[in-house]
Amino acid sequence: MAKAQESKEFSFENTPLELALSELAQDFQVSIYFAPEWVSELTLSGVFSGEKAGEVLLEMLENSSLNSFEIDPKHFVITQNTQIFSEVINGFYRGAYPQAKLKEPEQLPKAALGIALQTKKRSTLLERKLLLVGKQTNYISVNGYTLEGVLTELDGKTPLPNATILLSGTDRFATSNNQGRFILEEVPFGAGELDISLLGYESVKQPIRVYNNGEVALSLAPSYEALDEVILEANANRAVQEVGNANSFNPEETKSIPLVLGERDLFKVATTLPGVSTAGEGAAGFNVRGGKTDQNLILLDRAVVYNPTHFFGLFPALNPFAIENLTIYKGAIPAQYGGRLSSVFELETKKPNPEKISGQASLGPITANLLLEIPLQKDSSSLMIGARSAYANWIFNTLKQTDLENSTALFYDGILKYQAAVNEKNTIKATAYHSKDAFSISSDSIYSYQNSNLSLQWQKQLKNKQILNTALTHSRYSFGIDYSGTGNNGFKQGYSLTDTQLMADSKLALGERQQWSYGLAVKHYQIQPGFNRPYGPLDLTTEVDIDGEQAIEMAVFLSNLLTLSEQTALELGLRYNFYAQIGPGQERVYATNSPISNGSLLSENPIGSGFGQVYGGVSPRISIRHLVRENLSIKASYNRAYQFIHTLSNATTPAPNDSWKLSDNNIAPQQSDQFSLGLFSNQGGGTYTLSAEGFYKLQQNLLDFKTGASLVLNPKVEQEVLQGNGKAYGLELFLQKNRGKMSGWLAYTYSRSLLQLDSEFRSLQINNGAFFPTNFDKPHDLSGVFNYQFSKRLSFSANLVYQTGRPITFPVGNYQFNGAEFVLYSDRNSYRIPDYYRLDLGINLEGNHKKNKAFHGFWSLSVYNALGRNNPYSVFFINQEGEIKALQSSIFAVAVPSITYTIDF
Amino acid sequence: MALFKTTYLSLLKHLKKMGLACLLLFQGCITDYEGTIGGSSEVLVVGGILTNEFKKQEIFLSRSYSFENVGPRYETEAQVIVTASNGQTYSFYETPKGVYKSLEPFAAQEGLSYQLEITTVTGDAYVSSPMGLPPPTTLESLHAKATTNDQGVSGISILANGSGPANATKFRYDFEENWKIIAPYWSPYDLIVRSEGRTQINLAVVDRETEERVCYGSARPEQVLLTSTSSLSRNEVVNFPLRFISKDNYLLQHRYSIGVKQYGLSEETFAYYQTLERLSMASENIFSEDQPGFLQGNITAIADPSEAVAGFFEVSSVSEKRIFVNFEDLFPGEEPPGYIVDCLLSAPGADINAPVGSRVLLNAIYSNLVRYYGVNRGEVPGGSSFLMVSANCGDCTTLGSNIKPNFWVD
Repeated sequence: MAKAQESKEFSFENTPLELALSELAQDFQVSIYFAPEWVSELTLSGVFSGEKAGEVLLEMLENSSLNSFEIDPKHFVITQNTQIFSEVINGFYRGAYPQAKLKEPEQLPKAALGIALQTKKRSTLLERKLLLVGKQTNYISVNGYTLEGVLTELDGKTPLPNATILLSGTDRFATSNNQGRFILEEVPFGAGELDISLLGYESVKQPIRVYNNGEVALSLAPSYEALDEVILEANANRAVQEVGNANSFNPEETKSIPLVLGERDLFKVATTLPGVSTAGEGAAGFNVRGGKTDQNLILLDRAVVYNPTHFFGLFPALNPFAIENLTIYKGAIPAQYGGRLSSVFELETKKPNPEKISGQASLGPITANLLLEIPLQKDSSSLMIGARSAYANWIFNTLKQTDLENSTALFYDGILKYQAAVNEKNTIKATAYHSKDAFSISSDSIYSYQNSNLSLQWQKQLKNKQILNTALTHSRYSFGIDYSGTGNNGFKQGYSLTDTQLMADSKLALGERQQWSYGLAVKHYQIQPGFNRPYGPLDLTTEVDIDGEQAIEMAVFLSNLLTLSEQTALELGLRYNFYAQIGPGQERVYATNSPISNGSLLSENPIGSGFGQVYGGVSPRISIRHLVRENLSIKASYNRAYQFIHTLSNATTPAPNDSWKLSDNNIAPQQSDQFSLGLFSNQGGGTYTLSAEGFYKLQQNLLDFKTGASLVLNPKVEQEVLQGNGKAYGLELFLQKNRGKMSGWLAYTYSRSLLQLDSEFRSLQINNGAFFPTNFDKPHDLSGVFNYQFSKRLSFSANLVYQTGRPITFPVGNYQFNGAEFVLYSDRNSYRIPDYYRLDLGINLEGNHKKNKAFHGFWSLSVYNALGRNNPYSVFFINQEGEIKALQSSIFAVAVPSITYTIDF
Repeated sequence: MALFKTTYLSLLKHLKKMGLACLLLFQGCITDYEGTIGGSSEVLVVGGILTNEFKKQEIFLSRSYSFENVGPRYETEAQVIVTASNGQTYSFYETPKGVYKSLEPFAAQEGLSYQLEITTVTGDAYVSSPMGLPPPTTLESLHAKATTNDQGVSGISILANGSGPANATKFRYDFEENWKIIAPYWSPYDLIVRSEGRTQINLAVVDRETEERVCYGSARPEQVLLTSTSSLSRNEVVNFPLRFISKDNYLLQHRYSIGVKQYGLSEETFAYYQTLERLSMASENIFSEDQPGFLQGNITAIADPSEAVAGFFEVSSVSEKRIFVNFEDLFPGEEPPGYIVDCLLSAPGADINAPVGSRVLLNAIYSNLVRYYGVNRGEVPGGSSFLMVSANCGDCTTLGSNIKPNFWVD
């Protein structure tokens, strides 16, 4: 072995690293030890020179995650990720590196053996060797590191989207995107474990050792009982570990749940969760934990959606293909959300695929739907376009009744999203959304309503891994009636609401134990409460234009997620809300010693350039989680919220023409205080998730209306308003099976929702001022979702719903007054309609699983209301030849079959 | 506004009738409700308007009744007293049908408030809130006008003009309309069945004993007629539409009269009527039912304030007027409307050979379906000799009263 003192030069051009290394070893007459798989895919280009083998080697490895270590001038060891420090060499462990096939094992240095020892096998579902992340440096970042990764099938190529990658023992997790990529932020230095789970694949606990920002490649093996359809799998770990308690799922996971007329509906799935219900089919909105339907904040890419349903609430107004994720908060609502009392439904749209054109399309009995994802600049910017439209008009054309031949019903929605990574630190997203419903029952009238949303989001990475999110959103909701009339009585009537919000928030980790988030939001509301105009020039309809109203709502919020110990974490949040009416507008002042009426109206004052009525309030948001055991936690939370905008509805069930009204000097904001306490557990290694949660909610200033109130085009609507206290409490039980051929969940809720409308004035009391059940008080609510996987391609699913019938006010007799006969009604809500129950069945057939086919098809056959139960939606009374007759209406009185075909490409 | 409101509601009724939800979802889904409807406790119902007319004032007491019953049970043997705020009390005595009249005539006076006290035979005591008399208003004029309504139908409108002092802005109208009916196929004779046997029938043509040719029909409004002038610059009711009668309505065939009472209401009374009216209207919302409920008036049970008491003790000023309307005054030279029904003459056989109970003529007479018109002289070929006409056309008492109202002027 000659000494090599002179400088040697090596030149490579896409040379495999292995080859380059062996050239180096030959030239310098040294031995270099490494595991071939570390270098097998790496190539080297450039000119490298030096007098010593060590220098050249260092240069060659500079841009890789490999380190070199000189044992002596003749022997070099290449290590992956790990840096070998000379001081520890002698004190290291003994053992054998089980996987690495080294070139010259007999000369394996002890130091290398020591490192290898760390990869002792762990008994997980799939045994994994230790993964080392990042190149080790001489310092440790207190803020942790960013772990990027890609998750694939065992072939290492096919990306696996929608997998959950949880950093064990923390609540940090990531979800892999369509390219299988994921990013975990703030991963602490040192040993850790990733919990990777994906439907249909073996769950994996992957030990890691983090040295620096880095990238990992992971692969998963399909599970034997390939289960495509387990829903809410992603929550299995979160439920126990998270401090709050949010339900989160994505549309793909819900695709096998039986459908109403073939429409995939995330909201319908939401109503199978404990504590979430609707007034019935065809009722717009949800009641969450005994709250009114206007108390839910529904956000689409952070913009408020005022009416998220088509067709009177039967179908979701949001394209399921466009939605990446829906998260529902009903108990511990984070401080960043406000303005509604009961819940937050946060919908995020997909990140459009920036690599290749892809999409989804479906054809069902009611609608056709197409969504395209188009890359604009490879890997950095992309576009999503989705459109869905109903072609229900044929339904009317097939109807025999001549009355209905002129009826039409149309709805459509469209979504457009642009997302771009401007540079490494800045991402922008822009979403535009529009939905419209128009229907006419007779040829001379058209009812319509529409949502239009625009949202601009800018995500900027600041120093210290801080991310600043800024969002500008604009929402508009309007509805109208056009009536051409028979004589000169045609009219056009309408309502509109717009809100514009600017919001900025950021998160900051202070050490390992504190995560601060803070921000502010400013929102401007503008409402046109109603107008009525002649339809044509000949119509004599009186013009009515009710004064518009405007207000601003502002909030600042701050919260800190504090890790008190390994077991206990506390989230302390505070939100300050400020609300002010602004001009131009009118403010009516009434005498306080008599009921609000024209008679007690003292003065009507214009609101000028300053503030009108002002309200403010502090909302504490506190939640605590304590891990009793690794798979059992106990959580408690307290929450206060204010709401400044309310629906005006005198109806027993919500409807699309319910208008929204802002708080003013006569209508105080609604307020809610909620306490909840729950137990969350995973059993059978994550196969089962169980939870039991109780809540107690006190509400103030809930809006209701005088009996017989008239709200349509009423310029002094405050004269019809009653405000009272609400009380809701309940116990929610939830059992979910996450894996196996048979999966699904069962949710049972016992809850009550009560309202009190009391006043010193008898005429403003309802039920003598006592608490009475609200229109949506349904004490027993049982929902089940089941899925049985016969094979990889064929699955069977079923939904079961049982609810106590909702309360109703019945006529109980007649009375004569002033020579005429009138109907005598019972006290408000002292009866109930019959119980509601429904069973839906579905069969889902996946296309074959061949690779490289052009698209993947999916058939779903479903039967809604398979038992043909005639569930009353409302009970009403008509006077038929002097006799009062009770009739009931129902939306689906028979079983409704449907078939839908969906393709992914 | 009022115009808009009526058209809007008619549209909604139209939509509702067709069962919106069902038709959109292609299933017939309005069905009879088979659940139980709650029991009906008999709630005390108080009616009556104390007015500024000097007269024996009246209070009505009855009970609510279940749907199977035709009418109310009247509240009997109750003690009824009205107390004025100046200490004066007025006692009432019972007359039939739940009507209690004041022992002495009196008129409600401005500046005083009145309270109704009732003690039922079971000893339950009720009291109204004190009600003051609103300032008197004047029904200035009443007129009929040939018009075309919203639906393009031509006819006559009965319009009211009223006025009041600035602080009396709430008005309610009530009317009774009457019209003259002349049975077009009246005959001075009646056909009666003296006896009917298996083989023998004894019929007789006799003089009619009661007035059955000229009658007077009457009706009251189907809805509560309310108006408010509080948003107007002058306290005047101008051309308030009380009634529309289409040109071909038989009410206008001979002579029509309408007597209108204009009540000046307090705010509280007005609010009560407004709610009463809305509760009895079709739902304003086509998507859902409006929230109904028990309407509490101004009467409270002393022992249990939560007891439901229906009705209202009203103290209102009243002003009234009457007009008569002849078709030809409004539509000169035009053909007046025809009778309410088309009249058919028939000559059913006595069917002597048919068994008892199967004889067409006799059965028709028994069940008052027909009246005698005259001898069949071939008007009905092949019929029997008795020319009969449907009861409506031969006997006006099927449509109205044969007693001429005492205000009637021909």
